[in-house]
Amino acid sequence: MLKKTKRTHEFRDPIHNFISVDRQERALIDTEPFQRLRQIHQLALTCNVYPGASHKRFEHSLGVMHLAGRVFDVVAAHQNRHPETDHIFPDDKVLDQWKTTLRLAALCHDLGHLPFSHAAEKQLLPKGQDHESLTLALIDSEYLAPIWKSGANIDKDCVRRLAVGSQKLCGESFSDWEAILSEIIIGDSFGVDRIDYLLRDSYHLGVSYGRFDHLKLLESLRILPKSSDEGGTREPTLGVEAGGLHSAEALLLARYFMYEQVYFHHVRRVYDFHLINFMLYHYGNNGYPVELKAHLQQTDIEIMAAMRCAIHEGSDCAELASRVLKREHFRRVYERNPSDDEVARQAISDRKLSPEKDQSDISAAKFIFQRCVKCFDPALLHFDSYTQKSNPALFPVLMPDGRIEESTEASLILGSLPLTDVKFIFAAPEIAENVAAWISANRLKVLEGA
Amino acid sequence: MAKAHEFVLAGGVINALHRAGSWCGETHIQKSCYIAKHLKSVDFESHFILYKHGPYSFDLSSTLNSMRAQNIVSVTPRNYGSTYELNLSLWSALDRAAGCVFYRFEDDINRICLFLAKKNVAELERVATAVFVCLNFPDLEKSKKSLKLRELKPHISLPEADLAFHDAANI
Repeated sequence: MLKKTKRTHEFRDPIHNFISVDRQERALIDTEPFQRLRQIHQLALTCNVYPGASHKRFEHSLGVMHLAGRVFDVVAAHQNRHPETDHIFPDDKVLDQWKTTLRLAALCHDLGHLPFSHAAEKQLLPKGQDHESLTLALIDSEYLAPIWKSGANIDKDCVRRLAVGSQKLCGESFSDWEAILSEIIIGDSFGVDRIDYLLRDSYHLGVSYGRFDHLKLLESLRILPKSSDEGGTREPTLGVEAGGLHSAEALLLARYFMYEQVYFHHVRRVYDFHLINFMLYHYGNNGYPVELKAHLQQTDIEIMAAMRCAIHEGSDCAELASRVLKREHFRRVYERNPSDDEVARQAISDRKLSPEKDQSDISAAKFIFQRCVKCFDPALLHFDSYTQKSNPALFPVLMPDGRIEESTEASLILGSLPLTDVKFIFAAPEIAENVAAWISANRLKVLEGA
Repeated sequence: MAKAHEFVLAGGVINALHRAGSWCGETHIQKSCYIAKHLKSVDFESHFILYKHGPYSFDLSSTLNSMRAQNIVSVTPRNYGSTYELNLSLWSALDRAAGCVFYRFEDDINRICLFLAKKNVAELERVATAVFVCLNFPDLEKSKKSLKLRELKPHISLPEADLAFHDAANI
């Protein structure tokens, strides 16, 4: 047997060309939890809409690691440090160790994903748990313990913090430096998790919406005080120098277009709905197995096999499986329409239309759906709604004269970026035509409060 | 989506901030809601953590975005940051649907918003973090509280921290 002498290993990657890993990273990649990511689709059942969407969390995690290392090199370079945030950097002697910690955390960030990624997470896991909980459990587990003991002296608790972030670990204290490193991976504006998935998803789906000049953006990232105004906060935050503002705009526009055209495509959304229903039936009253050994046995393959089996054996959940595998999915019969929303708002203001008790969604789609369920079988209807949760367009920009401006002041585009807000009404194929006809005939009467 | 009463309470804070003369950016809203919830037991469900600019709620941020998507609030970029404004007629309809929940907390919300309305982002961060320290480290001696605040937010100086606690005591 040949003696292993290679200190680095390379993966060919369609997005980043070559991704290099050292021995410790290779050891992590070779563990069971990480290898499992080869069987978790990055985009759930989007491949039923865009056939090329067959890529997995495995290569995405490698890409995130690769980008995290590149961003670290840029922001930590002495010539790129802002005098007001210079104090947060650790000593040069330990910078390599921090870079290794960051890259390992990037590799770990998606370990806890359920089959088909985000699709069924909320419904399947116990309240208060999510895939990040499982990620943390895996980092703490015996599966990865040998990694933390090998190679460079890596603080496992630090890897946990960087991989998951302060939002999920609200009981733990993050230093400014750790908060920034975590932001490099999972930050809302410039997280490399997002940068990689936009580029990768765009490539595999064959769409150009997700492409942007990411190399320019990475080179422009800086750790900046949030504001240079007297009344603003000096908290260190990931931002850009002015030369990279257009590439930041391009990233956020790419995000917006991918959300609108791909991630919230109506067929993709309805497949998520059917997949959730099947998985709820499949896992039964016990729910998804969160015990780690059982969790690691669950991949997309087991779910697909269960669906095929259900159809072939004609079991109770065959219909649920058929919605997915035989394309008997619910059809879109209505989607959000700004003009209809305006009609509804006017009627509400005029007190001709009233939200029901505790109703917070006052969109036209919601009012129409409420009426549909009174006219058709509710079991054959589905209302889908998603609103963007955060505003990633807020970050500091270092202007040429040394001032720090907020991004929405420095960029007209970022100040006008719309929120992603989708609403669909779906109906089973057997009644879809009737429902669509009913909506067409009655929607204005409903919205005007008749 | 957040429940209707969360929309109503958040909207009530926005309105109260405007009436108190604030330019009502997200930091004003976040800190007002945090203090209202934790000092006056206003019935917000949003969970707050110590994050950038002090106590922050991702739930509340999501609520504000949902309200914005439905034009219940509008957001206008200004020189010093975006300002939030409430559509009163839509908000009133939601309040009626939520059982007129706002009136129970109206006085407390108005008082807190009056206190915070004219503060800038740095002052809001300091006073809200001071409240956070008082609530989460109740056994800490008064003389050590400013040190604790600096430990959590190193970019805040000791004199600024002292002032923040003095300010917080007046809420």
